Amino acid sequence: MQDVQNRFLPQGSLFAMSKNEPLGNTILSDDQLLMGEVATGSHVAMEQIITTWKDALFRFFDRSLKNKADAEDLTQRVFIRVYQSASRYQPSAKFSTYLFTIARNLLIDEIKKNNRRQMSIYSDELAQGQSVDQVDQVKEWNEVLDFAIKEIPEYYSTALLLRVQRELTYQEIADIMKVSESRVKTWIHRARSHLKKTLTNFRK
Amino acid sequence: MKKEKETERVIEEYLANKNAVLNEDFTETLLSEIEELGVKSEKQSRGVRYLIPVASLGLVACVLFFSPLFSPQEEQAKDGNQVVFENASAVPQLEEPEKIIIEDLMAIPEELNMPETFLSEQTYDLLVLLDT
Repeated sequence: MQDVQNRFLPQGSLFAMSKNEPLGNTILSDDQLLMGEVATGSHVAMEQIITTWKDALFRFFDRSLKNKADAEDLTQRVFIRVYQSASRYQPSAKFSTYLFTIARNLLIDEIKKNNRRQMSIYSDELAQGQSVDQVDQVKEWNEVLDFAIKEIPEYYSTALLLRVQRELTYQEIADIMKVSESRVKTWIHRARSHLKKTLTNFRK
Repeated sequence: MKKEKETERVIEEYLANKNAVLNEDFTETLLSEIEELGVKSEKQSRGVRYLIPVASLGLVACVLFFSPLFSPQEEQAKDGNQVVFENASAVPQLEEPEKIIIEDLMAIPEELNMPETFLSEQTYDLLVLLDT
């Protein structure tokens, strides 16, 4: 994953700039330059973006939805949206912020669509209670956590996943979720507490 | 304490989800889909490009065809309006009592304004008898 942290990003489209060319304190990240190439129709640049970000997006969706097929589908849709909007892309924020904003919007739509179905699936899974002999302990704990993460609101889990998986700062998460930094901190704290409480109770 | 730390570690590992992997052909499939989208949008934009000159030519032809039909009528209408206004100015002003008489004549009572009612045959016979 390309490290674009600590790079101050410019306002407006500056695709004419070459990589690492300074403009005052501004430097475009590799991804932002690639987006400029995608806007001109470069499939090679699009491939590089996909290769760089596909796993990050898939892990995020997989944990949020707990359905591999849906997670893969959403990952695909994020890239299609990135491709379609490349000509309108303005590198005014970090590329990851842009990408995960799209990802979150798609996730919310998906959750709205599948909400009832998912709730029933997870309840059924827990009710069946797979035997400990059949699965190892960690797998079982993961199943408990799957259920626990479904119990918390989407914004709790999204904030927590962005923090853990992407190691984004609270401010970056706040930018993606369009809320204040303090609210993000509260959500992450509550999400962690809920997961911890659920797993601790299960292990007692 | 040890148990609590282990719980935290399990949660972190669960959230990190590092074992989750996409299908090997994911990138390839996606790229071909994107390529298709590109071809589609190119075709659409080409279609629009061809359509614009044809549509604008058609529009110009319509304007040219209909403009001679409309313009004399408009002129006639203009002339007509002028005549009306001219006539209006030529009409002599009425005196006050004449005005009142005309207004009285114009004010038709509501009863007279009702649609004609047809009488029955017996009533007609009676009317004929009375007349004779």
